[in-house]
Amino acid sequence: MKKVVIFDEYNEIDFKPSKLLHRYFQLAESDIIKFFIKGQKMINSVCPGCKGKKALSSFQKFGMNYVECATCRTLYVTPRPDDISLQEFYTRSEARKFWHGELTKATRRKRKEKIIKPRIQWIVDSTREYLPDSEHIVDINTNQYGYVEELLEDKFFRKKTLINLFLPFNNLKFDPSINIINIPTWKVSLEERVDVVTIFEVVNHMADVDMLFEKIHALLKGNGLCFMTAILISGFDLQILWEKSENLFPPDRLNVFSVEGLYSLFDRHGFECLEFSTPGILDVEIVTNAIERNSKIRVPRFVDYLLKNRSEAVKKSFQEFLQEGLLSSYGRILIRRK
Amino acid sequence: MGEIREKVIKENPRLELVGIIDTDPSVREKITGSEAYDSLEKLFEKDIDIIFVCTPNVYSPEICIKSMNKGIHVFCEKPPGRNMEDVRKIIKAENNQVKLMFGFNHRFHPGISKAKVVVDSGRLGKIINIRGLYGKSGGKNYGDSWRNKKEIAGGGILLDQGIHVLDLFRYFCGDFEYVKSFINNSFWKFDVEDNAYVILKNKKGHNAFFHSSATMWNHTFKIEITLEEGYIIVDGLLSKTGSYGREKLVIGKRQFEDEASAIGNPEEEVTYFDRDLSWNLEVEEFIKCIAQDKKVTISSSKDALKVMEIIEKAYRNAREE
Repeated sequence: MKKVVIFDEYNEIDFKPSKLLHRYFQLAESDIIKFFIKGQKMINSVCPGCKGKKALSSFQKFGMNYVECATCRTLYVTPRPDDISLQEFYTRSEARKFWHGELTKATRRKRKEKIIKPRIQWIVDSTREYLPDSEHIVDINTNQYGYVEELLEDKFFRKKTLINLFLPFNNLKFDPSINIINIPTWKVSLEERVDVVTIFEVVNHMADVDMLFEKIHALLKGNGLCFMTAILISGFDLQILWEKSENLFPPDRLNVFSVEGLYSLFDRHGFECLEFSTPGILDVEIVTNAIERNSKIRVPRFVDYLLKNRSEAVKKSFQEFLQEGLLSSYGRILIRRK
Repeated sequence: MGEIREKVIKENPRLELVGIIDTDPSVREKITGSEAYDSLEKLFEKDIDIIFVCTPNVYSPEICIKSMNKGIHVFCEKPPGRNMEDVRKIIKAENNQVKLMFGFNHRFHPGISKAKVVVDSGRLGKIINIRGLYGKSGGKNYGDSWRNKKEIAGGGILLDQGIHVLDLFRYFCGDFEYVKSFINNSFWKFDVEDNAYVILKNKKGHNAFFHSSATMWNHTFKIEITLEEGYIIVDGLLSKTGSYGREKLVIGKRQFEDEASAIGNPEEEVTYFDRDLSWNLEVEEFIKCIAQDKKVTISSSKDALKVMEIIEKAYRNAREE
């Protein structure tokens, strides 16, 4: 197993312009009522990480209940909409239209440079290292055009398949060798098993994560690789800000796994973890900005002291410590089918 | 080393441990879970496919040669002998019926494997130079070890431990034709060196520098590769005792002076590794070569000969100086 620590330069505002984000939240809140609360069946859930049944009630957001698993401390929404209602939300809601139209556009350049390109490099390097003869890569439900564009540019993989219900691909020029599948993940079956599957920011908003991992297991060859990213509740900013965090909102964050919760999930579905990193850069800055913006937010005395009385260099070291200790809220993980 | 090999063999479902040879009766008494033998000849009476040679350097060539003559595949620990003459003898016995591989397990360490992927991808450009530092502190009974007796080992710290780093230099850069060095034994005062300082150059224009030491009180393993567009550092090495520290890989990209905020302090990606599968992976590679009748291309007899050539040049140059 390995973990990666990254020292890079960017700010919260580069990826989360607060005006646009607040507009997205407003739209999401009204869409949630429209799509889920009114008339749709909500399902009770056990912990999506360790399957623990005991959970502690935590808080409500946009009318949905967040609970914390008493065993692995994963935070999750229950009751929750099923994947069919979520599919409706992600394809038809005003919030998602705004996300793809405005929010993504505003942050596109920076995301491409700082997130997407290094991500492709990570996939190619790790595949060269662990499964060098790989040919076929499948992405499931990315919500980033930029990622699709970069993946299309890549020359390492000979075959590429995109399973995606949420992004309209009309504007992209596709190589004929690219296979696009516009059906729900649970219905997908491919003619041959594949070498690599990617799921970026997908596990946080799936109603049935077990179904997703069963599907990935079925799609992959033996020793096949799965690359993923996820927002983790074990991260500093989420633990400190908890319900006040702008990064915890339904339905995008139905499952906010702890490190331990994800390990249980991988183990249950026959995956071995090759890399577990939390290379987040922004935890400390997010907490600093949150308490500056909202004087009602109370943080532990030590954190308040650190943020108000120590230099940027010390804060940077603290962020590096969080990365090393798997305590940042952005997780990047590589697992292998056993 | 024999204990590590025994563990790896037992962990591998494709291998069955037939027996262990040790000439010392007190060691044989402690062997459990497999047969113990006092001679190679007695083991040869059994139906064996592979032999792992984990003996002091002076004995390795004879065991390798006898085994290959019997049609047995050979995996031999490093160093491949005391000198080039030993290696040449082994190579003479190598034939089409058997596979021969040497135990340069550092090539399979996770930090090195990842560094190799990045170098070979070419995204940081060509290698400009490479620096290495590998050292340990010896210990209370260090003087009693066969590793420090010239007639048994053939050389000191450079041959025993430093050979790994020189092998890695070749792994990254290819052969080195020019070798300069200083060696001394001023602290331990054995009849073999306790420090070696080696400077290398090759026809491709790569320069390299290596310090191999038995007086490094803080155990250290470090390789720094400077490339046209960035740098790679492998620092620390996963080991049984953990004395070489956490194994980490640093990758940094060059930033020029016009990027004012980043002069001399570029963004880096640091990977920490917590599992060393190098022993298992190299044996797996060896088994693959046997099972698929594939030529040994990693840690081959050619690699062994070429790295011994560098070491002999270093010893010779130091004597001339």
